[in-house]
Amino acid sequence: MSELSRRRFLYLSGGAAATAAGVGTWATLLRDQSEKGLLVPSTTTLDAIPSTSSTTSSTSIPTSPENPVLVIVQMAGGNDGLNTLVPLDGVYYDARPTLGLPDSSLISLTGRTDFGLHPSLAPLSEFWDNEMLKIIAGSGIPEQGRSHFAATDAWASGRTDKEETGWIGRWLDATEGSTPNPLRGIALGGGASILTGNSSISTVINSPSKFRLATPPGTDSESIVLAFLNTASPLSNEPALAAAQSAIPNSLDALGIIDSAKSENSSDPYEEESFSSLLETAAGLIDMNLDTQVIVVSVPGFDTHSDQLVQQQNLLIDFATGVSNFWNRIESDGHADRVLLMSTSEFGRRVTENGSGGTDHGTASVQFLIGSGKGLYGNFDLKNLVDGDLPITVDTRSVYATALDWLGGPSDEILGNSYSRLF
Amino acid sequence: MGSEADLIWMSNRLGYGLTSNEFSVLQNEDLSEFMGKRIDPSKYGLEVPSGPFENIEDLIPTDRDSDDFQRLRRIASLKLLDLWLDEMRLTSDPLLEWMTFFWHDHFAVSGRVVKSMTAHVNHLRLLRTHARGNYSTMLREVTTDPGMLIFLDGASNTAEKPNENFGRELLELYSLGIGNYSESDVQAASTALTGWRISDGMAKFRPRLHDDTPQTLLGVKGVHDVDTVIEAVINHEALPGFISRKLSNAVLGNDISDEIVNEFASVFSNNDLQIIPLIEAIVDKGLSMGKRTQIIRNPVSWLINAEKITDVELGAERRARALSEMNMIPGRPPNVGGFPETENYLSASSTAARFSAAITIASDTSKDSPALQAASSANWDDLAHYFGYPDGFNQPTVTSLQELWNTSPMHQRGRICLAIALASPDFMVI
Repeated sequence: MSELSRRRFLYLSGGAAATAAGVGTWATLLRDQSEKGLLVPSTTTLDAIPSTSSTTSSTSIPTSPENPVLVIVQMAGGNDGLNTLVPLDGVYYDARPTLGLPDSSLISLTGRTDFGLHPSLAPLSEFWDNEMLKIIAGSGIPEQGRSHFAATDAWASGRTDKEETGWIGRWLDATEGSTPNPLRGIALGGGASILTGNSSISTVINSPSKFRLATPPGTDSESIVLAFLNTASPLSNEPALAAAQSAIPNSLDALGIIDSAKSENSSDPYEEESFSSLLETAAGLIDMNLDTQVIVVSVPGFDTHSDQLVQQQNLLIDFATGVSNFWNRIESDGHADRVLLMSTSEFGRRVTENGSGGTDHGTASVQFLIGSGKGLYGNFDLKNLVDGDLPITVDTRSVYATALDWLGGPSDEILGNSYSRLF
Repeated sequence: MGSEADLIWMSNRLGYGLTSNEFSVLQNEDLSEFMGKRIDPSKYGLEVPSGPFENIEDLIPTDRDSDDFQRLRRIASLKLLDLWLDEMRLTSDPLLEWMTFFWHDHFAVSGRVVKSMTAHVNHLRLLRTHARGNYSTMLREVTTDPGMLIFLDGASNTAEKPNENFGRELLELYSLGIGNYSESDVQAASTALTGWRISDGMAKFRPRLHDDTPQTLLGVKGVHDVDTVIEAVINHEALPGFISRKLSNAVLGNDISDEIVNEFASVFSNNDLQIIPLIEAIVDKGLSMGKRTQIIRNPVSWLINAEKITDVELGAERRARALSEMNMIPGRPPNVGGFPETENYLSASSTAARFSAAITIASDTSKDSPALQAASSANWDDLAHYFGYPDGFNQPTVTSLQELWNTSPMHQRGRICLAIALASPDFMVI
């Protein structure tokens, strides 16, 4: 159904070099853990790699700090930008007789009389007041369309030509060192397609709270896990089999480190991951100094065709709480100066509400950037709607370019174009 | 004509593999007849099973005000999942189950959204009824099926303010694909489909909520209601190719050329969108291909096949846990696009979960199991036979199994090796 399969395949196959490195890393780790007696049967998990380095704090925020980390938070399904950053504009209220959020309920942004934040986003106003929040209104990719899948492809690749790699995947390719590290790019929850590269390999954990490796009690766990690992090499020439082989060292590498970063294991098979739990894991990973440079966190549910008020409120509460807790954690761990957090969503929603208490697919949405100064960029141009949709006032890729600059570039090369920087 | 390898290939691609008993029976079968029966049992006078959800109404709690409602609901949903997986494992008609799941992936109605278990189960029954029938009939029935009306908001799509959720996915996901329709087609379809509501669990058409204004949909004028919408959609030239591509990708992998898919589309189209001729065309092509591309299997296929090989039935809780950890729960596709491409099940977390589940299954395997006996005696060719590999496991797996067998305690080594075989990369591809 999707155009993504080939690119995912490329990405999962990785390169033989990456796999070999993975095997080595893991085998060493296993030996270390075993010596420490940390390999526990029954629900075996490999314990933490000790944290070794610390980060100096600084008051100024450099364009590209040492060891930068980009955290991309995906609001999957198409977040309604207009009910996230609410324009105090009659056109909005006329189009949204039941969904329009009353002026009095909004969280105000100091110095702005034209917009207020959704009532659930109070924690973001603190970032604003602390000069740490940039808001981009009207962000989108021209020609991305109203299809979830076409739009998601465009947001993931940064292009509208069915490019199979993700924009971060291409950056990982371009900046890959001589020893590939699959932990440079980590997806938690979903959003793996952003990380898809041609040569680089990343790590995907669908559900950190359910990520575990169980070995049978009363057995030699180490030799069993090693036997599993040994089925992975040498790599087959068959692409599908090789991809299944590569997944094993990748999984075991990740297992060793994720376990100490994540929150509690969940035993409820139907429990969904939240922004809060995924971002908690992300903060833990950053503190482990694994040379992780990009973490993608993705939560679905923003496709609010009906019952939007309740659904979006719950999601935004989780988003704001998760981001706020995340930031507190990385601040107290001393990493805040080297982290940039960027929110994305594949599209915004129609200006006019539908008859189901919801909104249909639209175009431009809103993005938040936390960690690099304050400002409101772009606009919701309600006077000049195109087929009932907000015109795109900021090309999302100019925000990507800024994020890539933060990572040290080469941004224009990765994006295949020189998008003007907003700031 | 067909070889054993052909039959195993078909059993894996359009079913959930074979049990050790089925492998024994194979020796004496006329293989082409065996395949014919698998594709269309009724043609051979075989009874078509009624499916797993026949007498389940008593299981579904209805008293929403009861303190116990959530607990009972959880028990019921686990039980329904268990019944469904049992049917996949034990059915006499594997293709019916496989096709039902294929359409479940296609329409992707999720229990996350459809809170009414009755509506959700009835939706799955509907998919099973039409799984090998006629696509236009299925599409028509699904359009006003209460489960779908809830899932994509058809039940609140109203003349005054149409809701585009179903109208868009009808064109993008269920019939034509991107590039074959315009935004005005989405609006036309959505408008013509206004007025459907659910009353006492049944879909009811309410003329007063319906906009009967004639619309132009896909160039067809005068479209104004569900039947004219479906007619315009099924007569569109892109539909046979779109559905053929999707089924072909699932059976043969994504590398099949457009030319070949166009052949499938012609068969589908010439047979009035009957699904069986399309399946036959795809199977024939698969069997005639000299070298078949391997594909990654999904966790449901992995779990059911593992249970069949070992004759283990994990039970509701452990099945749900294993599938949840592998990130694929039947009845709960992650989004409207259905379950992701199977390569996604090679994620770090799904891979670890597969290992854990393999350990559990091997621990539960009876000592009488032929597969366990093969593993216990280090007879890897025999073990490979029960896994459906006439040519044996791949060399890294054989080497690893032998080394593990050599170094493990005698009373454990059979199960341990069986677990590694189940968790192996070999068993993730079909």
